[in-house]
Amino acid sequence: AAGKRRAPAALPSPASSSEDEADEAPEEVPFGVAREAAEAERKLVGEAARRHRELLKEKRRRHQELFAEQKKRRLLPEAVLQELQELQDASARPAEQAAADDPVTLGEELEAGAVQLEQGQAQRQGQAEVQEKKGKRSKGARTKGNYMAVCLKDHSVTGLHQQLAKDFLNAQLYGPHTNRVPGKPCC
Amino acid sequence: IGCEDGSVKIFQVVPGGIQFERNLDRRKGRVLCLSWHPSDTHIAAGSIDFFRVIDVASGQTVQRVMVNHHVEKTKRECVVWAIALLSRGTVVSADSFGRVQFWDWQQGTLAESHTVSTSAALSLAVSEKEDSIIVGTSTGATYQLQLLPVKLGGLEKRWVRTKPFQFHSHDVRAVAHSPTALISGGLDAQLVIRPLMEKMQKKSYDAALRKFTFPHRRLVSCARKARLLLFQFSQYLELWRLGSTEETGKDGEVLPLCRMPEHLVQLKSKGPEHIYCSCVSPCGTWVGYATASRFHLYRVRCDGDGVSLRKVPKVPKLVPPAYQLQFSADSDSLFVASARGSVHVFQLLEPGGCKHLHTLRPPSGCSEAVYLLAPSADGHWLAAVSGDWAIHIYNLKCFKHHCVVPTYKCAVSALAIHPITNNLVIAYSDQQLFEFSIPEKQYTSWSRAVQSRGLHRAWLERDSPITHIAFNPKNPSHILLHDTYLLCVLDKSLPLPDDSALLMNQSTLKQLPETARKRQLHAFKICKKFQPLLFMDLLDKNCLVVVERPIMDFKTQLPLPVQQKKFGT
Repeated sequence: AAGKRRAPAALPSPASSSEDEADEAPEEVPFGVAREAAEAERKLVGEAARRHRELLKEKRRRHQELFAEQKKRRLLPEAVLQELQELQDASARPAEQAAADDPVTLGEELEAGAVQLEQGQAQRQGQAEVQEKKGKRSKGARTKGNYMAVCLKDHSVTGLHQQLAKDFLNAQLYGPHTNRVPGKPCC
Repeated sequence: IGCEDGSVKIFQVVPGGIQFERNLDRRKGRVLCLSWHPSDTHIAAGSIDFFRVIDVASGQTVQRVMVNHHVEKTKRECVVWAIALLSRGTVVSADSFGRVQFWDWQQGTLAESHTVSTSAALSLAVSEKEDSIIVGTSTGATYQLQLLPVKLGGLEKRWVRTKPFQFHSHDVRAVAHSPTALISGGLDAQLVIRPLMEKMQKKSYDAALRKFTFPHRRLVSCARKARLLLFQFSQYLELWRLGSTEETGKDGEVLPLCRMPEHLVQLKSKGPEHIYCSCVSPCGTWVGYATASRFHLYRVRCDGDGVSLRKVPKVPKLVPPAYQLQFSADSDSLFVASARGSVHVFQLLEPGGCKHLHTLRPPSGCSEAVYLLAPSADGHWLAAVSGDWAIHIYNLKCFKHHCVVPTYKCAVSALAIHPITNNLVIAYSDQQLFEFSIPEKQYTSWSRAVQSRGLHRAWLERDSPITHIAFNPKNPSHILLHDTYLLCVLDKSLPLPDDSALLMNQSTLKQLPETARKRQLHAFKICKKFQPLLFMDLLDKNCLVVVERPIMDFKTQLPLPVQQKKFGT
């Protein structure tokens, strides 16, 4: 009975023509066909919905992971935070002399922090006097210097977009269907 | 600019950068490619499974066309990697199924479809006349499609895939179409220019296929006295100390080292920007580099076995930073090539400081940036080449413009000032060589002789430009030069070869008896043993340093190529 009442989903609707059509009885559709059509459609919709749910779940999981990662990286190491605190209590020294003594510890740079501060630096290029100093380089002994730690604009969302974009490119260009030479893509 | 979130943003190009103007209609789906209509009225935006056309004036999407019909029932999306909007209203799309499709966007219908590859079609470029298209693919193959009449002399035209090319081993993500050539850039680090035969008047050198693997700019600099080399990579610099030997030997022998070359320091550049230029001072105690936004200067200190690098603080902020860096011969000054033909002169201070002294500018102004610098050994002169190909010479004692070298018809690829004569030796990108006397403000007689005689044909037909020129303190008539595939000691005291002589005759000469050798000796002494060459310089009277960059060394670090079926395997 249900099959008869519902409009057949998969079958084409009769071509509309003259007003005679309106008086005619609706087309007879065998119960089985209609039911199959309805089931097929339910299945497709169900699958699409399931995929969509999976996608959202995956996205949510990724977001969480990324935020956790971002948060971890943004915190400067304990030692530097400690020193910054100490320096805030001490009196300021003339900026010119300060940084001349700073050694650069080879290769040891707080990448995330440096990048974020660097971006902030670029944003403030107009200013003549650049007073803030980057809390970069050596994780350990920072001897002298005059620092002012600044909190910059939140870059975590941009980072997420970038990561998703990179993932997309990787999947599309180096995914399993791309017939690449075996190995690990280094993108 | 098309964005991840499906928006398309318009920016104004203003002096010094770009300025946001407005957002156009945003639709769901990341924008992967964009194309302006030649009249700027519309923009086509390619996305995943569809492309749309936007009316620029209103900012509204006026058509959305699905491109994922007719693909096998795969679960894959159809990614539109490249798109072009032609003047008559045709949209050309290149997609991840290897298809190039032609659409009537107003009707929303597909006019023609060409499957050029089993792998993705990644890039496309249309000729100005809109009758030829080049497509780049994942496999490294490029294809030309041409709009040809269906019947000879008929009016109806169709697109036909005419020429396939396999110049690259890796994905081709950038292509361009000039009036006479197809140009492609691959992830295999090669740039290829393929002239179109039908556009060539005659079969000449211009019609040859050109392949470029290495940049035509200096990536290695040398601190001669300290025997240090500075290598410029895109995200870091490496400072090396050369090894040494106490032994001597015969021609062709490899001598054992008593001290091995040392990798002293790796200096990483902060941030995502590439390092644009770098330099080490002749004394080896200063290192400078610049990215697109910043300039950095470091003091190098070698104590015992350790090496330390100290950043020079308060380096003057340059806008834009630097197009080229060059230290003076006495390591007291730093020259910074900048925009609008200007060169900044900085004085280097102990223990680690930098002061702006002067900015040199061409007297009649210049719209282009300086890209090459050559200081003289005595600190008196500085030659600067700007993007308009003019070579200006400045007097550093009074910071005045001295003269300008007569204009030539192409770009300078290398130049250097002779330490004794103060002659400026210039190598142009068409392989011509000139020698200009700075004190006399005119070409030297040797240079005039070279021009009237003409350079050897084999020299002029070389594929890569001279990127460095050096001199021999022991012999003032020597000019040392190199390109990617050879190094040459040019001896001005010897006769110039004519076309009938063999240019690369070193091996032949070795086998001849003394008298015969004297007759056949000519000015160009060429060695092709070391390639590809990135750098060559004279360290001292007995020692030449040569830097090779074998292609296999970086090929293995490239992204994975598509598996190619080898015939017969």
